Amino acid sequence: MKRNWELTGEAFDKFLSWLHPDREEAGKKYEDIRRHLIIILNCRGCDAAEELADETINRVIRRAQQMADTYRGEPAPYFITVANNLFLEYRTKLQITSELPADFPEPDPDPDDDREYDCLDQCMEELRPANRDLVLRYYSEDKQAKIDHRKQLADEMGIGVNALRIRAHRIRLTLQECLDKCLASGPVM
Amino acid sequence: MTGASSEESRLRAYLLGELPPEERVPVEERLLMDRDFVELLLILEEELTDGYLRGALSEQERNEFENYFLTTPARRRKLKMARVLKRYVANKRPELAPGTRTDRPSGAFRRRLVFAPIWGTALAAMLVAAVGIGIWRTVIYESTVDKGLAALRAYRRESPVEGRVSGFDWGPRNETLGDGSNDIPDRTKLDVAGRYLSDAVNTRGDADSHHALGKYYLVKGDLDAAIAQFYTALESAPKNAKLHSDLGVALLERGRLSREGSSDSLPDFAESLVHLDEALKLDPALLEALFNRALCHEHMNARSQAADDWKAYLERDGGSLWREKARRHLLDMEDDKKKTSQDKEFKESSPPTKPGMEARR
Repeated sequence: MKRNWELTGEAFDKFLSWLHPDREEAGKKYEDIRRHLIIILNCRGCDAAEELADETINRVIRRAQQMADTYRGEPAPYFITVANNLFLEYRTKLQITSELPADFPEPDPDPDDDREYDCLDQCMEELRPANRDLVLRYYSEDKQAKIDHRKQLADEMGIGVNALRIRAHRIRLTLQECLDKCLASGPVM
Repeated sequence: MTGASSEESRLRAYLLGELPPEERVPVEERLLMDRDFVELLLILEEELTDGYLRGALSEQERNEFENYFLTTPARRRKLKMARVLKRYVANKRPELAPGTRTDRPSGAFRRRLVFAPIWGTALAAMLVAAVGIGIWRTVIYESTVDKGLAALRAYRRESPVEGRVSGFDWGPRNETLGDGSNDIPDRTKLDVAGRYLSDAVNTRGDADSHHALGKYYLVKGDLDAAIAQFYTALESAPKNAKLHSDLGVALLERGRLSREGSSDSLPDFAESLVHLDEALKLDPALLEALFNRALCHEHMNARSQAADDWKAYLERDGGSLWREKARRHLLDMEDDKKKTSQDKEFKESSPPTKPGMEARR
């Protein structure tokens, strides 16, 4: 890896135009690629997903300077190949620095539980009443009862079960973000 | 995202690390460019996590979830969130009346009360009501877990497993030839127990309800499901000696059934022993755990440890139905020991045999 290579505005522009001729679209694509790379690396069990995603993009930007004019097709496979190589390097480094395999994740101890509960309570209060109600109802049943229950809920809302699933997921993402912020800040009053 | 079932199975396999590299790469390429596909992946992540907490994953999936899926801090954070959300929703089920919706007041509600003195009278009334509910819960109220366990207790009179399950006054399983047992299981009671205990897990989702549902599966013979429930319970009650003992019984039974004595059963026996040791460390007076450990040692052919455990058990058990069983185990072991030493003496004193003689003897 050439570590003395510096990211310049010009290089970044060339990279964006390789992603998409329209700069705004290219910007969106770049954001998506970065976010999705983090998710993919997480799926691979990489606990430095953000750093590796950024390094992947840096390497692709560097290579784009030479190949942008000649490369044909979607850039996705190229990103995945670079991310794969980086991940393998990362794993090898990890094995060298630590002879032990990655520890099995310990079950989370309970001390934080009440604080998490209070934070979640606060985050639920911040949701719009309709969304709060949806979360409570969507996650309230189990197994077959849950399937029936969600169908009924979707019917009441006049949407399909899949649309309901997506809606619940998006609210849950908001809750996760709020919970992370709350836990990172001081104690809940 | 319609018609996504095959996509979903593929993504689920991807999340659990089941896909070979040649199938994984196209999935990742699509994930990189397709927002909807990423959203589906994130939904499935949540559903897997919720399923893990409910004990709804198969044994294989649970292993993959713990050893592959849960290896990053981000996912462990999601597991934490799922756990607290589950507890929150169980406390605030919409169908319950407002006064009984939660066992703890909401943080925002507490904040509002602190800053609004006008609510003083209402607070006093609520406190009186809360005390009343407290008395009702401790003196009169029988929880769904209690009801489920009572039904399970009434299901039969003899233990369906070789070991001792905590909290039940069943006698040992009758293993005489011709089945001299007069234990006729009442399957209706088992069904009732299943309904109460599943409901308890859905609504409370705490360690006690998972422990109780685990006992139900154990009694029913669904050992994988029992073990999953016990592990879920252990997450929030790692110091519960009875829970460790019951998990030990379930693992012991699974090991015993998977071709006793073969190498397949050894990991279960070894894991069982870890939990039974832990149970006795937490509560040295727990007779069930001592009985189960003696059995476990016996299955592992650790004869002297098994004999020590049986002796210790007989010293402590004043006269339960299990005492006789323990005495028989100890006698059998001593008989075996005598027989082995007699055989050895006989072999040493006998003249060399002609070929074929040994086989006939």
